[in-house]
This record gives sequence, C-alpha cells and structure tokens, in this order.
Amino acid sequence: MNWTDFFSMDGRGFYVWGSFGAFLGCIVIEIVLVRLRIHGAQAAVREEVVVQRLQERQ
Amino acid sequence: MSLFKYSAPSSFYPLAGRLVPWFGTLAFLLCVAGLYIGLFVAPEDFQQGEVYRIIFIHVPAAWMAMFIYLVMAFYAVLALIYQTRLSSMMMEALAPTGAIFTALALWTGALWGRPTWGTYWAWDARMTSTLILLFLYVGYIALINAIEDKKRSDKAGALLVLVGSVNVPIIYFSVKWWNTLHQGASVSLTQGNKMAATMLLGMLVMALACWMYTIAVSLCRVRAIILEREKNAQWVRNIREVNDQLKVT
Amino acid sequence: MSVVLPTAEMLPTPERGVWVAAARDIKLAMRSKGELAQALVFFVIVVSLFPLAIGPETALLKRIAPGVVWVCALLSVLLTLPRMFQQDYTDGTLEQLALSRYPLPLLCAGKMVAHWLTTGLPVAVVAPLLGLQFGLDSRELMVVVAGLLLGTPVLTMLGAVGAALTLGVRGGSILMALLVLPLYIPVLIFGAGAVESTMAGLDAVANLSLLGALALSGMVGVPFAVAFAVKISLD
Repeated sequence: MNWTDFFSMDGRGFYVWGSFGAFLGCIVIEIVLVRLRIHGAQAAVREEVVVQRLQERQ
Repeated sequence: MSLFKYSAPSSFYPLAGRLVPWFGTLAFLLCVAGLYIGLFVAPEDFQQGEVYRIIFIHVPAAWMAMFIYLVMAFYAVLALIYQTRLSSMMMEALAPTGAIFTALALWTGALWGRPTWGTYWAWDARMTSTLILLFLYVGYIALINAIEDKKRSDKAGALLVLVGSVNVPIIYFSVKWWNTLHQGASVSLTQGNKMAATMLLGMLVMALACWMYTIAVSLCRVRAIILEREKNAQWVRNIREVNDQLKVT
Repeated sequence: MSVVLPTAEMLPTPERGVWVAAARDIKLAMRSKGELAQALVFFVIVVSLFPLAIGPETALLKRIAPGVVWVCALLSVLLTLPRMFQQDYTDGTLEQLALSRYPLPLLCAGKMVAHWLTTGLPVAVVAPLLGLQFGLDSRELMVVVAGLLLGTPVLTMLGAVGAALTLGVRGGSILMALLVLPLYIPVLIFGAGAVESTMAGLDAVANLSLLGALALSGMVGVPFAVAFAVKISLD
C-alpha cells in the first residue's frame, strides 16, 4: 500500500478529500457547537441556582 | 405506560444523558469501520476509478437528509395529536442535523459530479429535490427561531413540517417530471448491477454510523433545549450536572 | 354585486361562513382599489423587465415566456399574501372571526376565495396581453390562461398557510416567502410545463390536469390547515 497513491486518488484527491474533509469538518463543528450549547445551558441553570441561594442567605 | 413516562422532559433529560455516550461510541466505531471498508477494503471501481469512494459518504448523507425529515414529520404528528412538548423539542433538535446532512449530500454530490460528469452542478432530479429539501429545513429553522413564544413556535413548526411532508412527494414527482420533459443532464448515478458486495457493505455501515450519530447528537441537543426551556423549573435545579459543579465551587 | 351580510335573525347556516368571509374581504379590497391594482401592475412591470434585461430577440423571448410569466405570477401572489390576514390580525377582527358562529376553516376558505378573486384571477386575465409581447400564439395563450386559472388557487392556498403561520412575527414577510416558495415549485413546474409542451407541439392536458388535481386536493385539506395555523397565531 502506497500512501502517496492513496492520497492522490488517481489524481482526483481534491474531490475525494474535499468531500470527506467537509463531512468530518461538519460533524466536528456540529459536535463542538452542541457541546457548547448544552454546557451553556447547564451554566445558565447553575447561575440561577447560585443567585437564588445568595438571595436566600441575605 | 412506561414509554409515556419518558415523554416528560424531566424524566427524558437523564435518560437521554445516559443514552448519548452509547450511541456516540457506536457511531464512532461504525464510522471507523465504514471508512476502513470504504477507503481500504472496497476495490477500485472499474469505470470511475478511485473517485467513486465519495459514494461512502454521499449516499448515507442523502439517505439521512430524507430520513430525518421523515422522522421530523412523525414527531410533528405526535406533537399535534398528543400535544407532547418533547416531540416538538425533538423536531427542533433534529432539524439542524438534517440540514447539515442535506448540505453535505449536495456538497459531496457536486464534488463527485465534477470528475465523473464534468460539472459541479447538473439540474438532475435528485440534486434538485435535495436542494428543495434543504430549503424546507431552512424554512423550518427560520420559522421556529422567529417566533418568540415557544408554545406557538412548537405548533407552528409542527404544522409547517406536516404541510411540507405532504408536499415532499409532490415536489419529488414534479421535479422528476420536469427533468424528463427537459431531457436535461442525462446523468445516472446507478452503478449498474455490478456493485461489489464490499461497496454495498461499506455504504450500509456508513449509513448506520450516520444514523447512530444523528441519534447521539440530537439527543444531546434536545437536552440543551430542555434545559433552556425549563430553566425555571424546580427539577432542573436538582440535576447532577448542576449540583456536582456547585458542590465543588 | 349585492352582498347580503347576515343578521342575527337570519340564523345563518354554518356553510355560509365561506361567503360571509369572502364577501367581506372582497368589499374591503374594492374599497382600496389602489392596493388591488398594485399586484397587477407589479405583475405587468416585472414581466416587461425581462425583454429589457435580455434583449428583444423574439426566439429567445418566446423560449423563456412560460417561465417568466409563471415566476412573475408567483411573485405577485406572494406579495399580496400578507393582505389576507395581516390587517384583520392587527385590528382584532381575526379573533372575532375565530369566535364567530361560523367554523373557522370555512371562514378561511372564504378569505382564500376573496384573495384568489382579487389576485389570481386578474393576473390570469392580463397574462395573455403579456404573452403577446413575448410572441406566444393564441393556442399557447389559452394554455397560459388555463394554467393560471388552475394554478393560482394552489398558490393562494399554500400561501395562506404561510401567511397565517407568520402572523405577527418579526420580519414576517421575508420569512413567509422562505416558507412558501419551496412549496410553490410543483405549481411552477406544471404551469410552465403546460405552456412549454404546447410550444413543443405536445398536449398540455397532462400538466393541466396535474394542476387541477393539486387545486382539488388542496381545497379538501388546506382550509383546515389554515384554520389551525390561524388558531396557533391567535393563542
């Protein structure tokens, strides 16, 4: 197995890797965005709890 | 009924949290296996050469694009009949992933078309209907984001997807009709009947990987949506992710 | 046209809701004739822009005529869609209608009838004049008119769903276009296809019957979808 041949894909590497790259890129970006979103949502809840506890203490 | 128990956001949230890693791992393993089969095991296509390997992501993406809209239509029916909030949240969680797969199907189709048919874009029936499907996803996302009131955006979104899903077969038929009338780009994606078994296997494994990925990512997103909407509910304050961190700080 | 608005003693039957709503909307439209003419003028102007943009070559103009006429008809219907509910929504009439003795789907059907009579029908009537500018012959002009008569009701119906869903939403009109335009594609294809197949010497019946089928099946389901959308927006 020759890696140069593998990456060149008959000289059409641009098309093949452009597709696979976009696919992986989209998935990675989506995963990052979803993680940011859920962590943000959890942080927002946490913040509310903290605010509430502070208010109760006063 | 135990199933209905989980249609309450408060009990679905932890369940989804437990399921996400399983589906995520499954998606990862299947993706690795599928890519291995697709890139290393499957033989070169005797007509197209190596470039045909785009099929291993193009076809699964196109399948998921349609399948996710179908699932959304199913949830739309549930949302309208049983008025379950969770169904609408699932629709909202699925739509971005569906739109991404649709865009990927178009993108990979274009990159495949260039070396095989000599053009990035042909007004082929399948490509055109996929483009329209992307418009439908975008319309749904735009509508639910434009309406501030969640109760209203849930119902409006469900109705839109339902109307859209009734129209999808008509759109598909009309585009096909239009394509035959114009005798346009006579492109054919059919690989004939000579498709090797390993090619089919690779495609199926990748499709399964995409399916598992969709489940994992939409469950994760629906958890975020649940938290965003139920921010003020009491049960949200008692969930593990919130309390564990609070004890530390 | 004399319109008898029902009074309490007349004990209106529910089916009359269609005519009550239609008559009311038509009366309102007649009162503001400027608005009524706007869609039509828009249609005429936009169609006339194409020869200016593309050049006066008769063969080319004839080739693009079906598409141009249909896209412009579609846009003029789209432009007038907010008229169907927006005014009634802001001044509270829509809420009154929803609470009235008439079933809401029938009232919505009436509103759609009125909308079609004030946009689709006029567009279909002027279309032959514009078709002449593009060098269509009389047989093709007849197909244009037949197609528009069958197709514009579908445009009104699908548009009504979009208009009702986006009532009172920020940036509603552009959003409505986004929702409605993809759904308009089959009508566009069958409508323009009918004219094109006539130009190619084929029969337009297949395309026209598909348009008719869309219109008929729309009439069965769409009023309920529109009524539901109105209810969602009023909640």
